[in-house]
Amino acid sequence: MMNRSVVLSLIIGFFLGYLLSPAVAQAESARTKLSPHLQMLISGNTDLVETAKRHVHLRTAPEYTEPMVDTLVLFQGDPKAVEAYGARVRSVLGNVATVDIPLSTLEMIANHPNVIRIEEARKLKPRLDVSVPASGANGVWGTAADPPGSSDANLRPLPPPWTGNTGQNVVVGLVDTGIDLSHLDFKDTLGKSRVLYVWDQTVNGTKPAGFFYGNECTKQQIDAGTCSQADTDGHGTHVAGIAAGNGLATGNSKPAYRYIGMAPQANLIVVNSTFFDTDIVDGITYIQNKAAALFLPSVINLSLGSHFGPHDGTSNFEAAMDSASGTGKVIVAAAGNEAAADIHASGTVANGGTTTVGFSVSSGETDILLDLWYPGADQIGVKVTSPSSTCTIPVSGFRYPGNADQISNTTCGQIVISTPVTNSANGDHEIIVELQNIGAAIKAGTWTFTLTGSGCGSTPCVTNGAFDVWVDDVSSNAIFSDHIDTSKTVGMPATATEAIAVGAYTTKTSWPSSNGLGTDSFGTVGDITFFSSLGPRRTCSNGSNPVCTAVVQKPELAAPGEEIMSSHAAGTLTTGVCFAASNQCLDPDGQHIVFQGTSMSTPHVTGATALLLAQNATLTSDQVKTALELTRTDSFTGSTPNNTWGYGKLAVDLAIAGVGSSPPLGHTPSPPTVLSAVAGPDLATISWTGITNDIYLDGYNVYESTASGGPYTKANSNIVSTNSFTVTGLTAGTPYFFVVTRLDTPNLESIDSTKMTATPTTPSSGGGGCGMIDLRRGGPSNPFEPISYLLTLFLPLVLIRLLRRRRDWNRVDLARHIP
Amino acid sequence: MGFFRSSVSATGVIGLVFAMTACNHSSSMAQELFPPFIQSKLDPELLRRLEELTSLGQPDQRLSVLVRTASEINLDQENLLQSRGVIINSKLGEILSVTLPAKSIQAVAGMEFVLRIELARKLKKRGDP
Repeated sequence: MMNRSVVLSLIIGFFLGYLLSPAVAQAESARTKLSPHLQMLISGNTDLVETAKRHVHLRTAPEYTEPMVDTLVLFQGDPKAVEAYGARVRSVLGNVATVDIPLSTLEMIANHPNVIRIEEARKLKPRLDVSVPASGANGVWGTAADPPGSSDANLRPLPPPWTGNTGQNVVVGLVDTGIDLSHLDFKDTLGKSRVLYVWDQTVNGTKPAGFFYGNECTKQQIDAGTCSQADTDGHGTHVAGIAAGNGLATGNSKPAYRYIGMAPQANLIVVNSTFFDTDIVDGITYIQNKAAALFLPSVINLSLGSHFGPHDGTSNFEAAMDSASGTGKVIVAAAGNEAAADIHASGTVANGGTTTVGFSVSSGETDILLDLWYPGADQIGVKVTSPSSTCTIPVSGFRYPGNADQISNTTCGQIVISTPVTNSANGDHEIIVELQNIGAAIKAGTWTFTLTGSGCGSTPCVTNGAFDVWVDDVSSNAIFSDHIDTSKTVGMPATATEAIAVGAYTTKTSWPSSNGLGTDSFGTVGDITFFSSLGPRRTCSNGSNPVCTAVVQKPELAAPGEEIMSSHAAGTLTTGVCFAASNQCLDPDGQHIVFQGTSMSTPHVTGATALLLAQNATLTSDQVKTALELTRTDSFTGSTPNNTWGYGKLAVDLAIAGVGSSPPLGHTPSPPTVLSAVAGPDLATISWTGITNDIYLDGYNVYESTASGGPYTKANSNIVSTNSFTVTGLTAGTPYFFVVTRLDTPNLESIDSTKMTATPTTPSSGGGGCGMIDLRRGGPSNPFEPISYLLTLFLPLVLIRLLRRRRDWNRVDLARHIP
Repeated sequence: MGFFRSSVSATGVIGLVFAMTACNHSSSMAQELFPPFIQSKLDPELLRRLEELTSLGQPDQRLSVLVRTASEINLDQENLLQSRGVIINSKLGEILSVTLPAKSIQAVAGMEFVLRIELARKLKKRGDP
């Protein structure tokens, strides 16, 4: 008999031999190609297999004889080679294929030399989905399971009911392309609009009080479906969804609440704008006036901008943003998308020297405007030359500050040079060069303008010589071909001192679309987008102007802005609006779409600001800025603040911690005054005094109970929009108690009204057809009841007798059936 | 000038083009009319617009502008502006959004409490870079 050590050696030897055999080595090699969950799936261990099945999508179909594992396969050579093992290749993108693989041959396929790696298909999280949690909003809303402040809340979508701060009693104002009022993301669960007012500046109609153009709709008109305003562009609706959509909209059997905005229960006031700065100022005034009348703080989103102006905070438009900022009033503006757009050039002109700057013009341009700024102490001359030097303006010499405008009609188009006197606001000089297709088309090619530091006589022309010049990208697509400077590309009004300028970073590069997986190859998750405009803002030379000599951080911070899924305005473009294949922008639900830009990052901050103001309505614009400086930073942001990220990535959960608590007074809906509860047969009619002139009012609920102290149950199935309601199906002779509540946007319900009581009466018999009387009810109790009883009893008899006489109708003698 | 807010008639534009074609290079008449202290309160595009309207003989053409004042205007100042045909759409502190006839620009700019007048400019939405 062998001793124990010999036996043990034999067992170990056998086991090692088995492990080292070619077959085992091959199997192990195959398994390393599988993701951990797929390895678990073929482990043979029941517990591991069950765990794996929770993560692996097993696809079944009539043509499949067994469940197929839904996979992504990294391959070399021909991916179809795996079809010999029963797999089905669904699509191929580069060296990645989507493949359905039979469970029974998974390991064999992993062993195939053409297969490099197999991973199970993974369900993607829905997305505002990524950007909103990444911004810390979920942790502010909270739910019963994830209370406000819970960091876990930011790890996943957080559908209602919310228990924390969702922006209630704050106005989110939007000056943009309008809003799709029918979109459910902007309605509450009662189906009532969360939009309190819309001012459409682009049409004529009912002008808002104090204004002389446009058409205003109230919430009542919006709820009644009589407001004609429409977002025919889609930009405004998307922006609104990011700031304050509630995610209720969905379709195609997709669940709701996948795309929830930052402040999902804020009130909305929308201005559908012409995009002229004067009208934008009017729109801001309108929103703030409405908010003030409602005793609510407001934050206004401006996902728009321009590069025509000083970029130093001193233009009237920028100054208007400062005036519009204050206690409970905040302006948030897009930094711009021009970091890589080549629309800014800078350089210096030496005294006595010249500097030439080129800019490229495409054919078909109609209006190109360059806006150049330099210190007021300098006197710099300018001339413009067309491609191939065909046209040079002025023909001889240069134009200097204070010279009259030079307007020249040439064969290269009309060329205008404006060299005004010193700008009174910032003490600087401005040069405007404008090309228009007046008289002749603007010549395509590389134009130049030449700046000179000569020609000032005995006085030096230049002591500083620095200049900045921007292409006004509103009117053209011209770009600089040299002296390009990516800094100072934050546009106006984001350059306003008080406005919060928002850059954009990437939070995702793939998403589900109605046409497969959309992917974006431009962005890197976590990094700034390639387009996010860079600071700083320009400083001026007027030492006595503290606005433009101050160094103001621009942008203030960055927020998610690439491939953001948000509300889609019905009827607007669904293709070519994202960085993926043109038809991969729309979500499978048909209600949400992917856009990108600082237009999208800005409403993240707007919604975050709404949450801050809902926490403390007395915050000033500066205090909101200071709070938002509490950001997240990482290896992408580097040391902050800087001109790319500002203070870093939006983190409203951090920002809100230090703002104290003084919620907006807002409104607490008071209950209606009930006038009467009048009993009838098995019913009671409750009447109350209607509430008028209340922008929030959605309607009323009526509750009934047989006990004064309740419990009360709701008697109406739909919101009552009139001032009375008849409760039916009651038991005669039983005293009932009734209360009425008022419903306000968004989903606010008042306390109960005072109770009223009524005791339903016994109904008269409705059985005239049979002439039956329900004697159990004890007879009539009002003076008219005897008549009705008599009629019930005898009318059928009379009618039948009459009929028999007139028609000799004797097929049925109902009288015989009368008991 | 497509993105400046105005309502010049087609005939007017044609007239202007004709005038400019006839005279290949032209200089600003409006600038010559306004003294430097007025010019310094007007943005260059507004000056050009005034020049156009002057040449077109359209002094009553209303322009949409942003006016900056030294401080929030009082009732007397508001009345003074209105006497020049100014319609105030909105007030944001020291900034007024107004429309006014072109012919009133000089008088309004000459008011002591008016610091600067800028012609309305169009902005662009910042989606889809």
